[in-house]
Amino acid sequence: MSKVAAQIRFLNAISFTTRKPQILINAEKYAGIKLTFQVKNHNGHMGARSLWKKYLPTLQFYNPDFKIDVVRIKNPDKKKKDIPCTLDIIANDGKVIDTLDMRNKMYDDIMDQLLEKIDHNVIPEENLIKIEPKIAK
Amino acid sequence: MKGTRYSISSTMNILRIPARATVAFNRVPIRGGLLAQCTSSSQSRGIHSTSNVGAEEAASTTTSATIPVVPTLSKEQLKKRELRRLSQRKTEAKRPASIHPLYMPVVEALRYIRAAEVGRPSGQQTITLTSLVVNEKGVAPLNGHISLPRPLKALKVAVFSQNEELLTRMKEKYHCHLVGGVELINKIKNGEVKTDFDKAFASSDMANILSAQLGKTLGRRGLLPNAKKGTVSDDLESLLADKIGSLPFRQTGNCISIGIGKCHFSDEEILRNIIAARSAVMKALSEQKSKKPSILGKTTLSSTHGPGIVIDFI
Repeated sequence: MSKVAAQIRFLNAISFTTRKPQILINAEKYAGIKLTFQVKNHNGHMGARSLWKKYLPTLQFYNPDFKIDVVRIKNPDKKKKDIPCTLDIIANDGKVIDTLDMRNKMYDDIMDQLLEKIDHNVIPEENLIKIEPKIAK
Repeated sequence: MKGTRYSISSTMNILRIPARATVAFNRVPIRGGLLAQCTSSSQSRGIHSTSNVGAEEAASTTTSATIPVVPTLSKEQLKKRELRRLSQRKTEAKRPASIHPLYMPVVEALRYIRAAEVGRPSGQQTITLTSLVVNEKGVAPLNGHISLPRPLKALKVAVFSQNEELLTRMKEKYHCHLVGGVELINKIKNGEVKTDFDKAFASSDMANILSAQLGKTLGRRGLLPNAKKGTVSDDLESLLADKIGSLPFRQTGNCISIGIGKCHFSDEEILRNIIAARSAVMKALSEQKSKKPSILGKTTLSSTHGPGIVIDFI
């Protein structure tokens, strides 16, 4: 794959091909979300990290003013077992209105739970942004 | 092609030929006879248990393909190739950015970059503008100074002068971190005041005292004001107006790279910074003392973890 094709694929992964987070979150109700998890995957934190890498770019792309905070806690020697693995939904007044536990869950399941809890509208396919490969003349 | 190389290396492993010998193997077209000799000798010695497999593989590849000879070019040919590549780069640079497959307007590019940087620490969210420079051999690299309307980091500035009236004016106008005269130098020398500033300016009467008293402490950190650097002047007000927000930039290799913002900056702030960067680069191009001036090519906007997106810069 050429560099340009790989780049177009990367950009489309943000704006077009990742279906689940292509939503418009109700900006009147929510200010943002805050994720807290470990830097490394152990103790069931892998789903949270995958959610951050795979779904949050698309969520941010379609909701540019929605604040997404990620707090990653270092635990290199794996001694601390009580590091939180949570997703807080923050209202416009700054209060945490809901908290999801992400420990030992797949990123897909976490996203499904978030979609259940949060008021949103799915963006219709015709409104999605797709980057078509152009042929330079 | 890959298969051929693999078979050669595997045969060489079997034969325990040192890795350096691969160069010679690649350059010389290998005939079936040579390999057959090699493999038969390895079999007779019984070096490796899988030598039969290697021999079969080598025999099958030698019949299907041979490794091409890498020609060594003469000086003239190399010169011609260099000229050809330069003209190719020039024609590519002259093409409009809008026909590039990764071209986007700046605002849309920033949307993608911010999405790619989601959840990263703010220190890692630097947006960089990189512009390719096409120049001929021997032309001095482009360099200059750029003053961004919204700097990436608030600079802490220290001003040394005997004129107290001027110092109070400077502190109000440019929000200087430290201002003072001889008493400030003594305080820094005694360790009462920390040297936590990023830039220092001084009037010419203070320059000698500074270098004598604080030469070691400030000189090591590159903060000592000096006329050669352009940080000593009797007209401090105009000097600060020019230099306070200015950052040096320099062509490295065949590109200029300038940090023009952070992801949390607004679109307008980043656009203003891009315009400032453009005018600084254009100024550097116009001031270039060369018969054949450099030209700017493809310009990309990228971030630490994000994609590189082509934008219209010229």
